[in-house]
Amino acid sequence: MFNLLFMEVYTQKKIAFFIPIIMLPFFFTLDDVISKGGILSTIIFSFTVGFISYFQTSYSNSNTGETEKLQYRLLLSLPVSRKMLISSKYLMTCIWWLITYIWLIAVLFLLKYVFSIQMNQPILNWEVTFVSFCSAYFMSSLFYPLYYKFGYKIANIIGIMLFVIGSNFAGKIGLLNKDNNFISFIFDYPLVAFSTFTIAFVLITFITSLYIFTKTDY
Amino acid sequence: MKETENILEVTNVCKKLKNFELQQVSFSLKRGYIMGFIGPNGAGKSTTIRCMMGLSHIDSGNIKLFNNDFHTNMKALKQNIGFVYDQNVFFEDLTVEKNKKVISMYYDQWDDKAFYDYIEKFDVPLSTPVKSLSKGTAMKFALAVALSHNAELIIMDEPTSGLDPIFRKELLEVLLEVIQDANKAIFFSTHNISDLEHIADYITFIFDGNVQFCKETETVLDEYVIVKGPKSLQELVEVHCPLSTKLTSLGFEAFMKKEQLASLNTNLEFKIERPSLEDIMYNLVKSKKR
Repeated sequence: MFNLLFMEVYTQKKIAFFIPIIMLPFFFTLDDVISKGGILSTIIFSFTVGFISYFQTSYSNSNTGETEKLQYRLLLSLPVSRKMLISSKYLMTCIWWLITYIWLIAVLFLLKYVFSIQMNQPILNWEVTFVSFCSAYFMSSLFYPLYYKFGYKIANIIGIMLFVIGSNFAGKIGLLNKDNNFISFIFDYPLVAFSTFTIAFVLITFITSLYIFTKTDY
Repeated sequence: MKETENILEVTNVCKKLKNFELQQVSFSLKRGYIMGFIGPNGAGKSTTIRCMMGLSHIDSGNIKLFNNDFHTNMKALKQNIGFVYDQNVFFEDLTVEKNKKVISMYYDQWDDKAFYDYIEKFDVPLSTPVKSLSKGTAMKFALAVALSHNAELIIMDEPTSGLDPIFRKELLEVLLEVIQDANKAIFFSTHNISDLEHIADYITFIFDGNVQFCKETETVLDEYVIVKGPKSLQELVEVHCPLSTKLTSLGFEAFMKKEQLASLNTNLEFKIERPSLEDIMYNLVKSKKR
């Protein structure tokens, strides 16, 4: 398993490790929101980290067409099982998240101490850590079954479409009927609800990805 | 008696693809031998190899590697398999050296010294990205990888394609060196059939998804003859239903089984020749297509 994780990091294009720096100009444009702190800045930080982690996941699989098939021909000829390969892909999300999260800390540190932007919440905020981790897994889990079924290009298009639709839907959450037990639970315990939903989603997509990958001929 | 056991056993393997089907493919290879896997384009050579490597799933039949069912512990079995494919499967953006670094981690018995010896012998530049290598050099790199982790079974799909005649000869010498270890075996598919005549102990011939034969090379070469003669004698041969006949400017050439010679009056102006493997494959394919 370590070999597969090392390979993922080693074969990732170098530029991908520096992509999170785009957070700096992005957060500059949102300095008012960041200064106020509260739930909105937590959401912005978390989903930015989640989206960049998703980007790194997708970028590390960015071979297309025949090259994609050939790459799997190599990996599956090595002493590696298909299950291990899929498990490593899912585990890698954790590493991409960690790299992006470290960048977030660095960017927030720069904003606070170098650019003197007022921040009401601490740089190390467990809610941001938790929600960004869940969102990174949520988005990457969306990518893999689509990727193994349809390939990189289509998975990316569908992934981004679903992300936009999901974000749109998330904006309308406030309009939902809070009298409903399920909806009221989400509002009362948003972190528990989000993490439970993420765990269920990751498990379902892991099993789906494994099923698709195991059945595919390379 | 490890040496005499089958290192590879393919039994009644069927695999249906869109426009093609492997039908009841069976053959076996013992330790200490080289098997040539021949057949025209689209005959099923690469599909069979992909099934053996677990890249494609078989519909029915069985594949045994090192006397183990291939899907029981494929991961452990692959420690002992060296592979070379007809396409470049390595990480294209990484250099040869970096590719080696990634791949070597997976093998318990990786031998760095052997790898660098082969790289030097084959003249492969270590610091060049794999995508910039010529097809022949990429093939040499693949060979160096396949031969550097003490694999007992080397499976090669068209390893000589894209190689110049000098390196082809060199490769055959390397394979003969490898096979000096009686515990090893080499399975080798190729279009360059002339290469096989010198090194292959066994030949498996596949055509249209069916294995036509799996025999010792000498037996195959002894089994057929080419009968040449003037056009006036052609009818005498045609009576014996040769597998194929062609007319030349000097007369005719008939390809037939050696046993058919017994009923032919060979005292006449016939010239009997031993066909090459290439002649055998060409004429068998021609006779099947008739």
